[in-house]
Amino acid sequence: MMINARELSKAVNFASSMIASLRKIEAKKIRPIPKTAEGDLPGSISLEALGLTKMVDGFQRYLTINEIDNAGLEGGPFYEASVEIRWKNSKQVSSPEFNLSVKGLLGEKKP
Amino acid sequence: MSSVFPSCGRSSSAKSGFLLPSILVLLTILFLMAMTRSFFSRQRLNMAGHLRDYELAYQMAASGMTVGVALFNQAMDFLNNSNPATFPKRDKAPPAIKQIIQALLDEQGLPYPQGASLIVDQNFVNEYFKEAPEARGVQLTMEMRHKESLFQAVADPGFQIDEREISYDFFINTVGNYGASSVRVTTFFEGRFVNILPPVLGKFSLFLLEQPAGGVNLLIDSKTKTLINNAPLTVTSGERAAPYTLAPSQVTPLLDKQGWIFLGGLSPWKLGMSQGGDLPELSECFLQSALFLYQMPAGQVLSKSGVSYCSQQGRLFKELIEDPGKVMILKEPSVETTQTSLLHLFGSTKNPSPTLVFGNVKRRWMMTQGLKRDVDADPIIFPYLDQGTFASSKWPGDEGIPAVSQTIKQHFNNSYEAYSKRMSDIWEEDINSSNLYALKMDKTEASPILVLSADNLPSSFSGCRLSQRMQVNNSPANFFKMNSGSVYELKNSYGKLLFSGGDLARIDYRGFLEKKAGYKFENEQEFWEKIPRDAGNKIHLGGIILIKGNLTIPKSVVISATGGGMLLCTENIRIKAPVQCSGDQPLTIISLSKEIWVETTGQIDAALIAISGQIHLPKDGVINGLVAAKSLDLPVGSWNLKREINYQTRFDPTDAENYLKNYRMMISGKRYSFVH
Repeated sequence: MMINARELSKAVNFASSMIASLRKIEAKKIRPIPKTAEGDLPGSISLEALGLTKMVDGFQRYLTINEIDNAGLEGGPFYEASVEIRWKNSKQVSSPEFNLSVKGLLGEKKP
Repeated sequence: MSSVFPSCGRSSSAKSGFLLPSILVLLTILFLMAMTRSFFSRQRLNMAGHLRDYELAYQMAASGMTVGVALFNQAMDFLNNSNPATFPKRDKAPPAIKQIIQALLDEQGLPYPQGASLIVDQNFVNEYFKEAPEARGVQLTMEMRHKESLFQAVADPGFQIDEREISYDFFINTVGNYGASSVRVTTFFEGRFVNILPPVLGKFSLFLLEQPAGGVNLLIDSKTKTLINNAPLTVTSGERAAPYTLAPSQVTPLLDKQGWIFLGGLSPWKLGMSQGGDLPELSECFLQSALFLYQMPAGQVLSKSGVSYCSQQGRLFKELIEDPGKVMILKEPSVETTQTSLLHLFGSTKNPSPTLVFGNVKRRWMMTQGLKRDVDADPIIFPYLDQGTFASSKWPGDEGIPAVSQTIKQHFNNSYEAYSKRMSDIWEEDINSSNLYALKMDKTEASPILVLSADNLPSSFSGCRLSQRMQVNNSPANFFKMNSGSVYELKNSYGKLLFSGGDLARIDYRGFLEKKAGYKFENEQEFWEKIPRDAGNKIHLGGIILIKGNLTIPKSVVISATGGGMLLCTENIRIKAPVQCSGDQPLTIISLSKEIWVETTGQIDAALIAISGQIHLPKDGVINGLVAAKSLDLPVGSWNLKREINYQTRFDPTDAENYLKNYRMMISGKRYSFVH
């Protein structure tokens, strides 16, 4: 078996926890950023600001934020947050690299 | 030594028979273990895959909720926008929310009382997720459920319930579908739909249950501005109308649209009309200023060609009795003869403003009478005299010359009764008579009449004497007569009852308004911390807010262009800085059981209501709104300081269209979300 279920579960959790944290912070702190490794995130959305810890060994996390077309919607701007997790099967010496991408829309919080 | 084993042939056969099954069993066990491990591994992988699908489906649903909430907020902002350009709501809704507005609102532009639901046709999210290989779309639905009517129908006299004031439960549901997983996210919150105009009282520019301590005639008036020792509170009630300008067709629409005035209490209000130092902004209007001449009956001493009786209306001022050597035409000095009202209810000469007054209210003015010889510039005044002075030879003023007084007495055949009908005196009439002087009459209609009366109006005005919106003691309020009673009935411009059968003098807001409050704060500190502000730091009330305890407005406040509302405070309110409203937003500030102090000379764009206590106004300041209180406290003012109430028709609850504009959906701050 090439892919490890436990590692896949971890990857899903790593991705979802970052999007969940992004949803909690003030919308005005969100800014478009190119694909950035988690250690290089700007201050307003740094791991510390998001309340997250560093990834465990073997996993890498990248965040991309794009401002998207509101398509007639007010109350924005809306942002697309895309979290990519990369890892290798730790039990295989020559494992290929796996990746998981989870994305979500960020916007206003009320009512 | 031979073999350890006794029989070589048999024993070899037995050995191989043991090993083979053992190996087979071992292989089977290994196989089963491998299969089991493979099975569980596959299961774990499947579970991990499901977890991934579930997470992606959740993110799709959560993203749908982001869009749903944005759409909902946009729809509520549109619903709460009182800008006339947004009406009718169903037609004017922007394309992004048109479907929501049309589903939730009825033809009047109000939420369906029974509730409504819709599936939002919004491709926004689906478009966004279409790249994901196994994404199967997001469904977004909204539901508005009738929770309860804020007020139950009651038979008690007084406020009529507004059946459109309803508490709703809102649900926004989104379902995200990815792979084999579906996730539903639901957000639930409460909305309270209320009208933010002050019920009934919003119709009144000035509403007072009691007279001020010491009475209302506290202005020692003069013909010279610098000799005035106080300053009035000038009330303008909406549109201006100069004397003699209102055509018959304009009377009812204008007076029913103006802000009205209620002056309660057991004692009659007798308002001395103010000269105001001859300043146009301080002197009262709606009096005949011309000298009226009447032909004398023949056969009397002074009945000669070129001599007429004359009469003239005039305001009160202290020089009428104070100036030495001048005609003394009034009674002995008293509050009633020398002082005038601090309340100027019909605006000023500069800004005349007709209105409709309720209560036992009269106005007092001077009727100067005498005779006029054609050859003289000034008339000869018949001064006010009691019977004893009339009989004596010591008349006051120029008429004190014995020859003059004797001639006048002879003219009236030494009859005090005959003289008293033509002597100067203070006249008193219903305050609403003021409106008669706003009517447009041509010279042939107006010239024979000095003191206009509702009973001697030209016939062209016969159809425009009665209000279509207010009844007092079961009769329509008369624009030109006293309207005082104990049973009032107020209707809006569409004929819908707003107040029925109750006495305005017993009106009580407590409880009634508290029940409408959708946002509540434990104290003023919490209010100032949490009240929403826009990017320009303008405050957005957006409904009815209850603040427990006292409230102080320490710094200048600006209400945003859609942020009007009502501030209810259980204790005292102190306004120490200007309050401004953007656009035509109505802001009402109410002390439910105590008092309001206005301690700024800056402009206040608000309705101020303290029906259980006093409102303390400054000596200088303008209130663009209305004032309703148990009583009013006016410190001594000055002629050069402006003290005004300028009624704003945006507070008028009897204007059905205006009322319709001022409903607000207040969304509760508490939100509950769950995933299933």
